[in-house]
Amino acid sequence: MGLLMNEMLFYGGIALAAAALLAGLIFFCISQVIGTRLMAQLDSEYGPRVDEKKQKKTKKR
Amino acid sequence: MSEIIASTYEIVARIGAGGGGVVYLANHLRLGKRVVLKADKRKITTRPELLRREVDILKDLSHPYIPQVYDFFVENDVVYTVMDYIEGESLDNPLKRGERYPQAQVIKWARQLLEALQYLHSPIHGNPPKGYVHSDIKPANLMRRPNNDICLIDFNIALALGEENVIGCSAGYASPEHYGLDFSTDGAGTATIARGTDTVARGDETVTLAVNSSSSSSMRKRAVLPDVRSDIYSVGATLYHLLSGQRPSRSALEVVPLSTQEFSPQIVHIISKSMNPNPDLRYQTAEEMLYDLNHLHENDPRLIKWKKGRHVAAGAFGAFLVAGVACAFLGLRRMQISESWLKMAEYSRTALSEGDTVAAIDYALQAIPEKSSLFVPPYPAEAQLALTDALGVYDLSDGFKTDRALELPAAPFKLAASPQGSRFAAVYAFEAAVFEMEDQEKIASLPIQESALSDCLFVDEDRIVYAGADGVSVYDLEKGEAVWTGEAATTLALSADASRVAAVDRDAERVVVYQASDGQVVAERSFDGKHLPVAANDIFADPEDALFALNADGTLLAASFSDGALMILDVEDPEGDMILFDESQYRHFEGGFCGKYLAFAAGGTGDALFGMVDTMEASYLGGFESQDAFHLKAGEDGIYLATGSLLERVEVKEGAEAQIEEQELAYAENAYLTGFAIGQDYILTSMEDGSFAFYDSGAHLSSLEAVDVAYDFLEITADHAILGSRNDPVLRLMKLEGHEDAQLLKYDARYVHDEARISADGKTAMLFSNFGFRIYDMDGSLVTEVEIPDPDTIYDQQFRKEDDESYLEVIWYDGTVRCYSAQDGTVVSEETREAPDKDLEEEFTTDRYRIASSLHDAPQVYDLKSGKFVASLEADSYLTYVTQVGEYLITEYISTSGDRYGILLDEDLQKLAYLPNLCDVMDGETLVFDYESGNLRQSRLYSIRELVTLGEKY
Repeated sequence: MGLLMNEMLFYGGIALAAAALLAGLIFFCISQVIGTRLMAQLDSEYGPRVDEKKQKKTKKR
Repeated sequence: MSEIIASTYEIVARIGAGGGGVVYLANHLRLGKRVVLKADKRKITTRPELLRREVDILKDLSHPYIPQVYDFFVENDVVYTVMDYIEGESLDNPLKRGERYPQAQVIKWARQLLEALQYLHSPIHGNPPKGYVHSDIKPANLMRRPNNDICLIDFNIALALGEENVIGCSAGYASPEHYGLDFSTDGAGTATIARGTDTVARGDETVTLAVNSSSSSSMRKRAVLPDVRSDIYSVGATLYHLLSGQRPSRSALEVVPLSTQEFSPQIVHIISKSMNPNPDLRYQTAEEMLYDLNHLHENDPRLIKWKKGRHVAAGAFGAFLVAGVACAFLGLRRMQISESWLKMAEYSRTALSEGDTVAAIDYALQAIPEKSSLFVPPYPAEAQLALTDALGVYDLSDGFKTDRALELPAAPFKLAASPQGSRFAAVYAFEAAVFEMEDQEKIASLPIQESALSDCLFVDEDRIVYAGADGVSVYDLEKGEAVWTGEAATTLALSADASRVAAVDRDAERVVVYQASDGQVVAERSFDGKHLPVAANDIFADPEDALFALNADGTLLAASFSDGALMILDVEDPEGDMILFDESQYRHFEGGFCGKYLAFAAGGTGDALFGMVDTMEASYLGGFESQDAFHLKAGEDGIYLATGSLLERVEVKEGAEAQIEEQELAYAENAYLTGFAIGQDYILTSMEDGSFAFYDSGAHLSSLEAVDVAYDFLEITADHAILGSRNDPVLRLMKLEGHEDAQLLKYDARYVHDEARISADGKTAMLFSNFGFRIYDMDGSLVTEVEIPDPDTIYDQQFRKEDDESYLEVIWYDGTVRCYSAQDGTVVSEETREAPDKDLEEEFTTDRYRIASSLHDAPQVYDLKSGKFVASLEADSYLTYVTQVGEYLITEYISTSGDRYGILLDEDLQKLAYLPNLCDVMDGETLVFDYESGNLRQSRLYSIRELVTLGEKY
């Protein structure tokens, strides 16, 4: 059982890490799409986002 | 004709009018550009010098959303302000047409407006902390330029000057302070009296202030001046109108909040906050409000929720990733540790097979940690098995057991043990080393002739004769000095009484006989042109083809020669020489003197010959031939002859005719003997298959070890044995062990039986086979002996223990079942059942497993709950019993050769110990072993900690 536990930890850990990585990638891809759409909606509601630094530079006369 | 103002500005058109005055579009006559002239007829009370200063300051105002003020002058009591002409449309016009602006557009303008106010309100001009308050922010005062940016117009110069009686107040856009209302926190909503009288009502966009005098002493009189927060209110009201298309209520308390369904909740909140009746609860600065407007995206709950979700997910996935990597690393580490321990267990087994018990125990201990933890896996079963084997705790047989290994600098040429067995000598290139038998301490290193022929013999416990580098020498081991040194010699012989030493140097044609005590030359004899057989290169090999022996008192010397001659030379009288062979085809001789007899074995290309000569009678007694080579040892303790698999003691029976008699001492099954040594109570043999065995005085096999090493040198004393090989510098040292302390019962070893069992009450032992049984009580007395009828038709025998009752159940093929009491052997029951299944299948159950045992296949183990196959047990043996002891399983087997043994298994069916000769398990924890020597012995189960402690003490 001790040997089986070693293999379970090793391969299980790899599987868990791989699954977390894969799931994370998938999640973040989906999240990125959702975020992009959300930003577009916010842009339509609030107008383009304000870059305050750029604004300060351009507004100086 | 157009009007010229201040000789500079030509009025082009009137473009607007309001409460503060009229607004004209004019041409700057000198600059040639369009400007706006705002004429204000209200009276200015500011002193001229202050006025000029303020004008100069205002002229410096520069912001993209504020029109540039160029000039300010008074003409005809009219205050004119000259500003940039802002092209475009004010935002109120589309509102009047019923148009509404998109929220995003309104937000953009709001930001621009607030930036302008931020600039305007900042105390950078003149007297800090005051900035300028617009005071009349409304859609009408916001111009929409062609580029869609706004510009805040109608800048009230008078208010900028701090004129107290000039306050713009547009209904709906003006803050409560414009009406003299103070809803601030310390004012607690009390209506206060505004200082001053009235304002100028101008059209429908302004309200005339009502001037009220205080009629109650309870009302607080307080001056309320619009400040930057008032502008904030107006911005909020302006945004309100731009978004909803509805001008907000004049009363701040009656303003209906914008719908969060129609507009973004954040925008609604910003506008509501900016229009809070209490100025303390509004945005305190344009910067604050602008900040909120610039961070709409970031503060949007949806975006916050999205980000939060990402963060949570990132945290979760990150945690799982880290956990996974950590688990993998941990698992890998544990695997590496387990792998190294398995290697240690393997090294232990290898060391044990080589005879190095100390190293075997050491390796096994390295594979067993003190305790397991998350980072330290539990020890493998192989480690416990290796440790158990190395310690031999479950081997309770009497006999020689490997004690340790001794590594010499080189492979040995010769081995010799002292007469009493307290010391031994090993000859290797090119030294003779003497060791103490008990602790292997080296007590002497003696340089020898550089020849593999160099002999080394113990004269007694303290003296050794050897072929020294300077000549044949006797060395005193106690004194540590040479006693005497003679001529150069390699081959030596010592008389049985240790009085004389015969010495020959390689292939010399003479022998010198010395007195062993002082080295005096007793005699010199020529071989008359013959010489002992010597290899062409005697540096590395001694073919051991020569017979060279003195008799008991050293008066006769037997010698074989390279031409196949065999002679008995009278040391002192050549007339007494006997020639057995002058020349012969034999090239290999062995043998020696036993009393008056010379026993010899000769081998060559044909059959081997064994013969005996009576030296007194000078007669040949006879002998025999064999196709197999002979191995012969003769000395005063007897004549021992091995051929093939058989070892015999040869004796001469005196009588009218002397007869040679043979007595079997050992028989090796399936292997030829290659060597032997005769001890006091045991005989040691080596076989050609790389095994060695011990036999007791009854010619019974005591132990057999297969080690894949062909041992060429065997020495045995009363309680030690040494084995060496020409090809291996490591000597195997063995020690006689007895386990009388574990004795349970001694019985007659001659009684043949298959099994031995102890009764449940522990009072009797039953030894049985198909042919019958014997019952002994525990002091070794025979209680009864019974013969079982029809043994050839017996299907099976089972020893049953039920509570305190024990009996032997015998089942015949015809279905007869008879039970014999284990107490007295009487028949306790007999019945006839259905004929049993000839497959002889049995089933055993434990807490976790069901074990099916059949006659022809390996026992199969199944999980008791799920029924799934788990493992197979021993393939080449028949499982007879399974006993569960706590978490362990003790499985008992009978091999195809009829040997009984047990295997200790852990809960995962891993082998923990091999239990040779196991015959019974008593009380669920005591192991009983049955040895062919007629001993039943017992042992408890050792825990791993006990084994480790034993190993560390070893």
